[in-house]
Amino acid sequence: MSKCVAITGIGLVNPLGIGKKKFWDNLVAGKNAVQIITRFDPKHLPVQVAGQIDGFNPKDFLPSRLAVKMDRFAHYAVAASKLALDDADIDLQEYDPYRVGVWFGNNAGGWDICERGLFELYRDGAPFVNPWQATAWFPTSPQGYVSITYGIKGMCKSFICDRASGASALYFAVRAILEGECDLILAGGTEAPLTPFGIICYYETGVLASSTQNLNVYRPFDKLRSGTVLGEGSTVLILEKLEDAESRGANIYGKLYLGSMTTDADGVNNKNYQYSQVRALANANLSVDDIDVIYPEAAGTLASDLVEAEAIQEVFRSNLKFHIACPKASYGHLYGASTATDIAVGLLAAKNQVLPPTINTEFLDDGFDLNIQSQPVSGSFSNMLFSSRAREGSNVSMLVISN
Amino acid sequence: MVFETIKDALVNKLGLEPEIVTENALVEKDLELDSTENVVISLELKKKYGIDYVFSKEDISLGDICKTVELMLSKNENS
Repeated sequence: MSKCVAITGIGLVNPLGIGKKKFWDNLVAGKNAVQIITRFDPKHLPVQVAGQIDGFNPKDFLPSRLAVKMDRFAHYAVAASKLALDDADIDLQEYDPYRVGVWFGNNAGGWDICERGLFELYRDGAPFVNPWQATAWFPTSPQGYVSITYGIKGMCKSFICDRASGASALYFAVRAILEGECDLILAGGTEAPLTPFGIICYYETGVLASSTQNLNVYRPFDKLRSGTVLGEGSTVLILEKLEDAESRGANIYGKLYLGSMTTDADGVNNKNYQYSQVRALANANLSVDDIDVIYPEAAGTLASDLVEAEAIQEVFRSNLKFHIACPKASYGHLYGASTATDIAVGLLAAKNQVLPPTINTEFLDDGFDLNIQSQPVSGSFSNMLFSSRAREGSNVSMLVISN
Repeated sequence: MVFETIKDALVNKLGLEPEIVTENALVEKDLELDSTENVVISLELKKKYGIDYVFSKEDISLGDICKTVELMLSKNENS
């Protein structure tokens, strides 16, 4: 049995652009979507910069009556799902709804509606809390609204695993197809944490760079790193049984292989991160020397960077050619949508034969021997490894081979 | 006055098209309001007039809701 599924559609709602063309053009051009937050006045916050999406109107993708009942993170997911299905040239009316699933990652739930609900409770009183509070904030809300929108009735799941939320969704989505639960899955994730309360909650965990003005503060593996920069958005990939995609003549971007998940006993040990990468390679029948590019977690925190750099240098020490790409420096960390976005970047890079730049990383930390380029690089980038790591050590590694 | 309050909530808070929001429109049959949307209408009436309007199980027109609310308001004034 093949251990891979086909990726046939990409839907992107991202600070760099809505839709894959605008996103890709801006990414390759080295544009930085991290900006001073304008959605609210951030002056009282220690973090005032983020990857914020401008110009998104949920009514472009949803009936207005439905949009008012949902939080921003669900709007993004429904929009990305539509873009992905359109990209895959799929009409779900033609599919058995019991064989289609929605598998999303989300770390933080709906912050807009939470802030609104708290205002209503403490300013107006308990009777005035909006009736959608319970359903709209919940991390499974995007999965629910996408399945309702498209009449999807197959197995659906949502995953919460810190920075590895989206990678977990993708890992189990591949398994669900390979084990016969679904034939087609909308997989990826969504996140929208940019509210005062959302940002301060993340900040208090100690992972965020405390920038009020510096837009180039997200610097993975750089000596001057000071933490993660939040972003928002959604990426949805269409995953299909490989045979189905081939028989319908779909445009197959690449094959996503059954990856590997491991968990560390602590947040600073890299052995199980290494193990996840080695097992993922084995599942794809690739060796370390076959890999063209690695898309790591690239959290930009000292602890995470150290674990990843040391593990990658150990596992891939015989590979003299591979690149490291950290596209999220251009739009912020998307948590639940992070790995699906990395995979979208990887597929577009392979297709265009251009690796986009990793902006901001100028001075590699001492002891890091990583090939990170600040300018676009031409070449073949068809064999890709994606690794995601939650803060305390849940690791997910997955291989993609582009067509 | 009451109708304008309800219409404002239906259009601006719930996203209904203004053309379909008429006094004759039935809540279920014509507007297809769900239970959460009914709650929003009740909340707006409570905010604006301080009354507790509870939707019954039977379908009702917006005009009849207005009449009930106006009756509740007049009783409050007289009590």
